[in-house]
Amino acid sequence: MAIPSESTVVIVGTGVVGVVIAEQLLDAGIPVLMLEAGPRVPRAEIVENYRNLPLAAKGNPIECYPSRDWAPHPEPAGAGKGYLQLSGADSYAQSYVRYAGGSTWHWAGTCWRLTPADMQLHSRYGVGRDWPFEYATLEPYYARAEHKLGVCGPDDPALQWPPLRSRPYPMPALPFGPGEARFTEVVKELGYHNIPCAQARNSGMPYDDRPACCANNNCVPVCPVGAKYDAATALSRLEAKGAVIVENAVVWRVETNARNQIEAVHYYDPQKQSHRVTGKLFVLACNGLENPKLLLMSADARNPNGLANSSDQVGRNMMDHPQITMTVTLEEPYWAGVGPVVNSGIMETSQGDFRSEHAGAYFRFNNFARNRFVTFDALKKGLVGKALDEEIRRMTACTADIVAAHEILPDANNRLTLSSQKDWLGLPKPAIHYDVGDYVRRSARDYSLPIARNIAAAMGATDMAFSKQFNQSKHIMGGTIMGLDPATSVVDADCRAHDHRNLFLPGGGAMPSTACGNSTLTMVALAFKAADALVAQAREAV
Amino acid sequence: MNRKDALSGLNVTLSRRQVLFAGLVMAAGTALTSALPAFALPVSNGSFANFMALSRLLVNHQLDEGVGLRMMAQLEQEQPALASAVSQILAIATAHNATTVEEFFPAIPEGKLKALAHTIIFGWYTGCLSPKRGVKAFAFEQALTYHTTLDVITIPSYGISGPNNWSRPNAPVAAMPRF
Repeated sequence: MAIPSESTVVIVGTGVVGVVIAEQLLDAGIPVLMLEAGPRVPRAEIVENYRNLPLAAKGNPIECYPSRDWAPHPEPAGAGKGYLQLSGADSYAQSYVRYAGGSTWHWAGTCWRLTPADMQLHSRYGVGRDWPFEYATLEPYYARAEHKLGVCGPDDPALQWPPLRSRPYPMPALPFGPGEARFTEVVKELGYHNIPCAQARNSGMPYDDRPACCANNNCVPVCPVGAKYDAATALSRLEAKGAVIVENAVVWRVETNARNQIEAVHYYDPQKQSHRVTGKLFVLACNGLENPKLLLMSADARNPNGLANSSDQVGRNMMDHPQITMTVTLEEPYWAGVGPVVNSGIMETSQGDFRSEHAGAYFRFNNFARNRFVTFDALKKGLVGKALDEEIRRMTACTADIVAAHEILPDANNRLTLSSQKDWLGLPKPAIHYDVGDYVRRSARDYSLPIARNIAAAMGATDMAFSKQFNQSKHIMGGTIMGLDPATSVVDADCRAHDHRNLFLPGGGAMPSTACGNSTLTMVALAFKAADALVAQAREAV
Repeated sequence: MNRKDALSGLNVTLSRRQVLFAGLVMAAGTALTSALPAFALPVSNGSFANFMALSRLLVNHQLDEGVGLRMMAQLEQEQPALASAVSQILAIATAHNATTVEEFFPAIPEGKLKALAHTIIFGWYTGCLSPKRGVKAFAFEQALTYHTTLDVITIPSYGISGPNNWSRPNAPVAAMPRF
């Protein structure tokens, strides 16, 4: 089939944000062309990649998604090695997937909502930024997102986060494994509530033509059966509705016209031939790093600092959830690894007036099977025979990781720019300067790590070890930040670029605050909000 | 039976049970080769039988011979004198009338032979020969680390329960599964 060179709406990126918007447009009868930088790969290939990885590599979710030369993503070897050029006090070492289906291929499926307070940090606590609308505005989009992705969660409001909902979850919460159940009992004695995690995973029933979860404990890096939502599961349905999806199409320039509206995008194919696609409306949904990179790369005479960048905020305010992992050794067995990999969390510790001074934190019991974490250590002890078997079993049962994930404030100095280093196509690599800042460091020192130590003691830990640095949660936010003032923000309340009325930049990049919970559900809620605006605007344009 | 011909000049006596065991290993090894992928074939049947016999003495569990063949092929690339070293360790085990690793492992001299014994054990438990990221794996489901906990923990990417059927009492650590 010949690849079209025009469409009513052109969407760059086939991750969760792109496919959700595409489906809303298609359902409204509006033609969509989707351009994906990477390949389209069957699930079985990724599962086999995972199974064939050596044990030491199984913990890195990106290793079963090898980059294509033309679409590098960060990875320890291969085409994506050294793709991110990092500097600053902390390392913005992200992981994302440039494949059709995007990074939900390897997400855990966690779907926490923001709270009203999370969206009003400045007005309530005098730090960060407020959102341009309140929780009540976002709530219906959350509900749509939960039903689109198939999010399971508890019916009991006491177990919901937050218990401010217009519709029930489409599926009940998943049961806890033994480790989560014991962890919940223990932290309750400290006054904390470990509640079921809302998650995009089919609970006890098929949903959206996908099967029920059966505890493969491999949500990250890939659900082998598609019980967890990932955007790749939607691609065929979109095509059945009329979408044209072009894979291996690396958009490298967004073109403006004399009215400073978007006229076209240009993409390279793997033979390095460039193609031009025109449209009426354009959506850049190609990841929180790739979006600002593409806007900066597209600088022209009318927009010398890059598109959508009259505010000079494109690529600034890069955020994530800086996390510290506490590994505990326990006297009693907890048996992490039964059920999905993330299934619960303590969210209440993310809220409070302390946010005027330091970040909140969310705690979770990581439910990954521990074998791959402990086997090398057991072997290193030189044990053999029954002693070796017993040590592996003991360490698998009686060790656990507790993660403290922090919110972070937008800081203009945490910035993505274009590196002088080039990728395979000759396009600049992203350079990111990053420092988690004192707001986070104070939290770790005075708040989150003391709580973690109390939890470890309550669990009966005989040993505890903390990660030596803030690690990234791979929740990329902030690079095209949202606001009402075009002088200080990139997009408006519908994720529409202030500078270009027919350009939408939905997703994590728009989020003015991070809260502590994973960002994807909020990204999808923003995608629905943007989709409504796109549908209305597309009808104007006809 | 004198094993001088079979085991690189070693002159040790085997019990009737050991002879039967070795014969079974040889037969299994011969039968297996026809079903194995081509890349696994360069090793000789005699060397492979010895390698599996040693593996079963070092790791006292049911061992998959396909895994053994792939592991041995990798080891031979790293250690040209593998067959000789295997025979030397086997001789030590035989000299101790060992049927379990605990019965002869302390007698293996420190140095290359002990390191090889550890490597073979490492291979059976992890499915690769090193804790480095870039090594080639030769086993996943059969890596024995997963089998020490198979009564409780799913081998990642496989499921052992039905939908929402994983709530269960906490299992004791002491009850090691048989594998």
